[in-house]
Amino acid sequence: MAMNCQKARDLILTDQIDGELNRARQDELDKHMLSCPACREFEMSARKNLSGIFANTKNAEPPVYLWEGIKDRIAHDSARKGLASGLLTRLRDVASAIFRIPKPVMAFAATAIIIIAILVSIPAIRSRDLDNYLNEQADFMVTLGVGETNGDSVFDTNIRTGVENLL
Amino acid sequence: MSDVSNELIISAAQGDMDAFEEIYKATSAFVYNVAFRITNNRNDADEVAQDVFIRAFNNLKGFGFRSSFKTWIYRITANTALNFCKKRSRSDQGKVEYDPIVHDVSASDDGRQELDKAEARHNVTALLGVLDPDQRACIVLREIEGLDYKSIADTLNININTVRSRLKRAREKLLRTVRKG
Repeated sequence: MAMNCQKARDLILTDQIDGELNRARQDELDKHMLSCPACREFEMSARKNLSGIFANTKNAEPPVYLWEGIKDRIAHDSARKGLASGLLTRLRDVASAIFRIPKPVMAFAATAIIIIAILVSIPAIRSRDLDNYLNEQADFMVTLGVGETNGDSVFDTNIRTGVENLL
Repeated sequence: MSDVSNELIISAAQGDMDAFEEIYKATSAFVYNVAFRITNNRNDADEVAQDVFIRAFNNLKGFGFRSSFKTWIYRITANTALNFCKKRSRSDQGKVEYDPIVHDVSASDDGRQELDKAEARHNVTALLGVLDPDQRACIVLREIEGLDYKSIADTLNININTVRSRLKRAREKLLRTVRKG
């Protein structure tokens, strides 16, 4: 099938200008160009307007401070990585020291921690009991005032002793 | 680019800064030039070139000598510059339209104005400014760096026909711009 103008112009703007056409494609294009003055005109105009527009482009030189900036960033990144890896090493040392402790010592330490935790929580339990006791007595007095006692609650006539028992 | 030996790459990968400086000296000119042409702005090129060398330094251990070092560094440069442009265009949405010549010349503040002014006269910066970053990357690698289609495709990690279509669209835009004068 003969090449159409659109395909010919696509090739002119790419492979033809850049010298990337293979032999077979080149022959097809040449054949089209021979019979198409409009595409010949298009190629001439494209070459005239595009060729050389970047030919004299000067190379932009890197500024002198660029290398200093790169060195500084690499040094800064290495220092940060060093700090992070130092912390990791320290954590690893601590963890391995813990696992090096003999098993009986470890068991003793764990038991001691559990006992201390229980002892520390006892005052909290006692204080919760006292709280409940005082709330119960206060509720009783309030409901007594509005005549709503249901007979289940019993007013403790000796609150002081009750509180002392719970302290 | 002058040759970068395998020994130099291995030493730099092990953290030898002198070796890395040699690599920098051998490659910085084309890295900076590609970064500048793709971003089309001096200050952005400074930032991109710095990022390219930091990424190169951090990834040297992973350089497997399967491709040439030049292709590898081209790839990092083009991709870093393109990502920079895409991020920049997202953050610039809704702002005043970018004027490549005015922007580029006024952005120069360190004795580089002469080159910028000369380039503005020759419209290189302005012409590249009419292209989108993907088209610009293809044009820069083809017209300024002289890479063939396969190398451009490898560098940008795209299909060779995508290279063709980007070059075609870029040249159509350039033709319209040049004809308008």
